[in-house]
Amino acid sequence: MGLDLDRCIEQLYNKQLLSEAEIKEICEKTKELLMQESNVLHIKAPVTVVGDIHGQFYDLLEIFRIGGFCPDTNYLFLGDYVDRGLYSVETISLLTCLKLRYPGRVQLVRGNHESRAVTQTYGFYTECTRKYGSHHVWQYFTDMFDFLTLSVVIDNSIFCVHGGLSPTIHVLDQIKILDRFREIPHEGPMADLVWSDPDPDKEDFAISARGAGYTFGSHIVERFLDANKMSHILRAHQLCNAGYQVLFNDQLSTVWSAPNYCYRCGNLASILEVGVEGERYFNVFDAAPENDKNFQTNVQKPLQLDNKQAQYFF
Amino acid sequence: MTSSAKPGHKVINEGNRREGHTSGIEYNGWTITSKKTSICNSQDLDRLQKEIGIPLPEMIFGNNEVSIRNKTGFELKYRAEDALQLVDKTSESNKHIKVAYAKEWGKKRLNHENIKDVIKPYDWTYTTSYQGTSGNQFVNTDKDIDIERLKRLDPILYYDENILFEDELADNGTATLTTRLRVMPTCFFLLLRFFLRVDDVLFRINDTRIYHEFGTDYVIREYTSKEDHYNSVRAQLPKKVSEDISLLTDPNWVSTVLPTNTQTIEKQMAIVK
Repeated sequence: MGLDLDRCIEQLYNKQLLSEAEIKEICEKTKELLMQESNVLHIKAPVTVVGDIHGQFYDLLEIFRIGGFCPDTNYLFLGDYVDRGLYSVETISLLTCLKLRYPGRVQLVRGNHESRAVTQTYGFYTECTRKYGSHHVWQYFTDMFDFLTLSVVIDNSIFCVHGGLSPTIHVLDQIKILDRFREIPHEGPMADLVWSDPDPDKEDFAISARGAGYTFGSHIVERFLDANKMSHILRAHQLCNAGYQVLFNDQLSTVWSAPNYCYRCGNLASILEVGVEGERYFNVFDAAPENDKNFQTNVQKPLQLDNKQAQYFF
Repeated sequence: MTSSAKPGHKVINEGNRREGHTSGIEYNGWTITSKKTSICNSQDLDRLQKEIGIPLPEMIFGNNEVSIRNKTGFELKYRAEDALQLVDKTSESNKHIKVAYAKEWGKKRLNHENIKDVIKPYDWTYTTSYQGTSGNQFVNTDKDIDIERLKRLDPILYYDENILFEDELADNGTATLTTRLRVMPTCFFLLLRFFLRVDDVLFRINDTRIYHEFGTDYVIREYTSKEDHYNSVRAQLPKKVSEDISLLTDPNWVSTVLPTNTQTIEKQMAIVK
């Protein structure tokens, strides 16, 4: 009671923060909602699939402008809402409110950045304490992250996940039985789903040379799709200059939705529109114009504020 | 960039974001430029991958370039590709990090008994001792960079930062190679910094400093390499913010706390003629 979600959404579209008390209530309610969701959530097309956003709030607004606003367009977000960009709080606040307001039309999958450990290093923690004066808001959100689902299947044919496949998962039932209500572990199937990457030069699983995480090749993709009677894997997690990448004979797509990543990569971004016949269309877009009003129009944002003092390095 | 109109120097500002933007300065017989464009596209990546032979950093600005040229023909360039060529690609490559930090690394390394296929070993930290690309010969010297001069708040005629590559080590840390450059009325100074953080394991900074005083006939190049355990650096975070570890992502701060007693230093110079 008392929580006016439409007002909250309106406020966030205008990039105004919600109060700490509102965030607390929204996160509590969202947890209750997410708790009902399976680790493998089945949905129907049409749906627009969004990859990594990383706190680039202006670009999220651009996504709604080009892809349609909620609830007119159904959205599936593949994780990595926070860290790196300047507006992680605004981004996750808006997405959480939209999920709560339109639970059947907005799906949020967990990415590897929806984690306490990762957000402490990559910006979300710092942003929360800076914008709210304490770490409570970070706590509310990261507690809520533990409830996000791990994967989505569109029309029984497209498997959607943040990172990729796991050597310990052959069929969907093995995902369904995972205890997902926890911090992302360092290893095991839950970690693999949010961390792993495809490798077009390989056939099987391989250990990355740095000894953390897996890559998976063409045979693994074929075997997984075959065993689960599906036709495509859709994932995010990897930056691509064109905004998307299609691999393994059109059996796997990467969708990347943070244009000019970190305000300096100069890459394009895309959202993937999946139609009722299973057709896939990458809607490619560039960084939103509002970004430029807040930064100099450089390709690269200086590593630190471009103030006079910082120029006297030695 | 500061562009106070001063006789004798010309500011360069060409191109656009998509095709590449070049800024720079012409001053005292020197042409100093910095080109920035987007990360490599998939064709560039395929080509680089073949030439370098290891999985590439996630963000590679393969078409960025910092160039320092003198009308006499002296030239020094900074390019991601040349820096990555110096990354260790031998099977020995992981030894250093494994040996020196075996305890931390052993804890971190996952158990993959059932997976046989390991990607060809390479130094996945992308550690490079790259000091720039030049046809000119650098020889050992005992000349020093004039730090006192650099501390003076002289006008800065041109300032630039350029990123050559960056990798998040699959969110196990970060490896970045960046240049910073400033041109003052009496000298110019460039800092090329390789910064590495492997979470819970180590920090490493390899710095190359390039310094020239106008009117002299030489360019000084100083290379330093220093590193320390992650926890030793973390222990130096200001107490009141110990829960906020974002300072550990700031190379400038980390540089101030890494020990200098174990660092390697090389001082060289090249004649400009």
